[in-house]
Amino acid sequence: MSEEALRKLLSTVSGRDLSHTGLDEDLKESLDLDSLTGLRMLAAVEKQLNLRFPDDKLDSFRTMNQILEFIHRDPSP
Amino acid sequence: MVNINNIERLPGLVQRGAEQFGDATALLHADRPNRGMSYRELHRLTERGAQCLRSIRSDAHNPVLLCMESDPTWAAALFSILEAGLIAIPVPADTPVQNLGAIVQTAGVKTVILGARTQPLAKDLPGCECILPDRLFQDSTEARASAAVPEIAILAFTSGSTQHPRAVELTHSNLIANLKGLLSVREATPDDAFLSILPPAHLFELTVGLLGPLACGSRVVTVGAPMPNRILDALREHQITHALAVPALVHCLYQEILLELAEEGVIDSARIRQSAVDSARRLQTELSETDLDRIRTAVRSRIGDSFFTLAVGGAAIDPAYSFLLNALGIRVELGYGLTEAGPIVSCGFAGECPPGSVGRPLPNVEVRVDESGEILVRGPNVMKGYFNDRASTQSALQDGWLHTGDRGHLDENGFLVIDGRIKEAMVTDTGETLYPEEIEPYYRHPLFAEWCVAGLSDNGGNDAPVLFVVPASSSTGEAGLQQAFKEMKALAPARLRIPRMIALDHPLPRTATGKIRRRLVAATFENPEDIL
Repeated sequence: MSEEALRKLLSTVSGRDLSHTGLDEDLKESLDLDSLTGLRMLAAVEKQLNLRFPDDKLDSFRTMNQILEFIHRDPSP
Repeated sequence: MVNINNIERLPGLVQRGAEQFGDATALLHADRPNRGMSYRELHRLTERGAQCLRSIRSDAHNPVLLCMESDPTWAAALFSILEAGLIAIPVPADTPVQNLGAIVQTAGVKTVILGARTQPLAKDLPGCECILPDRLFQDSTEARASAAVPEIAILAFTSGSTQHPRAVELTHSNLIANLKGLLSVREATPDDAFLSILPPAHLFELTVGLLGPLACGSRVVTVGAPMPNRILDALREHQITHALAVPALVHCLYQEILLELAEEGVIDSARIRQSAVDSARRLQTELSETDLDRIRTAVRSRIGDSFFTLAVGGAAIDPAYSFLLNALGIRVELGYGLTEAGPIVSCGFAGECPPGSVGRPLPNVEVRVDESGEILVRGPNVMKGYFNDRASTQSALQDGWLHTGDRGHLDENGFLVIDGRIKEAMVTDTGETLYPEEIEPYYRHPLFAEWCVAGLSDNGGNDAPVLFVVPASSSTGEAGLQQAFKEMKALAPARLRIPRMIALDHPLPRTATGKIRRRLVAATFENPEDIL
């Protein structure tokens, strides 16, 4: 998934404009999101790419770069 | 009819379950469908866990802290503690470590049960023996008799803050009485499956979502993280019939469903950008029967045909959700409860309750409203008291009646209606209780001469905490104050990061003794006649 596609997806789910959000910015902090909206963003990535974020590390996916890094490392389809 | 009349202590439920339901599945993790725990297995693990705990410690004065992620073994660990004759302190797995430290110190905890995910906390709990499930449930021949069995089953910390940890003492009798009351009006069957989404340490989930189903021979299916896609998958894959949620989770699931419906072209994608409550209200008024039919078909193909009851607790929910869920064939069960009442006071299906009502009191729970409008509760479910806090206990329990701190009334048909809160504690839409005193210390800033936290009613009838500040200097503009607020918020623990700040141009109102009148501060931004 490209950076642009991720921005678009997360923006649709959260209803926020992510076009000026830095790749290393904490999404929940900078967009002032509640924790469930944070989970909905990860859920959208899971669905789109058919992968699973590990349950015990969900809180560590706080920035777009962290999400992209996991996506590109994850061996699952 | 489910009969638990001869059960006096909670582990009795496990023994009865093994005898009555044997190899039927009691508990299951949604991700591990082939590794369910039968009623017999739950009993076996409970016995083993109790044996392990007895071999370690038999002093009932030291409660055992249970801090594990949601998992079938969570229930076995809880029952092990109780079967060993010890008191359990169940806390959610994401409890901040400094709060755990405060609980350990306050309650004199020496033994902690951790799970795979919470295992790293062991290094932050010096002086405590930390046990993992592998050790807890291993087969051992070493046996030791229990000490005198305590009357108290659970110490439920209602505020885990480091400065004001406060625990409710609930006895075995309290919890069993509440369960009996619940089962007398809502009985499940061995064919039912409950999806456990909320942390089982949440007393609402523990009673309605765990003890209730286990008494009825039902299955309890746990999802790990409350990811909306995984919840919807689990509803279908595990033929779930019942689930419990707090309003914030209902909003989240609702948004997820809207998003999926929009992706499939069932509804207009513009709707998903609106706030959940607003869009639910609009859909309620705008949708035709044909629209609803189309949506019903799409949603049912996603979540399956079994799911028919969603119990919403912890906080109030907007009626628009009840309408929409009802239209999808899902009954919404409302209720009122508080930890001090073990926890359920009243319940009722949304379609059968008058607007604004939270159902009728359980048959074994008495409710009355005193002359000041405060809801009082009496019954075998009412707590023994607050742990080591005689003054608070005396103030909450007077002549056998529990003072709830909530205002309300009973209508002519006996339905309970909640009108607001008397206490300054705030209940958010996640069902979490926040106390101003635990939040305020984090917002001290040189630009603020005075500040306090008070709750404003949100759209759904819950409290949205707001920081009210009086600037130290009239020359500081709004932008500077908001920046200071943002800085302090970033430093506060996650659960105490409140969303909004309002600057005042007058001093905070105080009582004669100098105490801030927080409800009056909030009332000036709501209905000023409402609260005095």
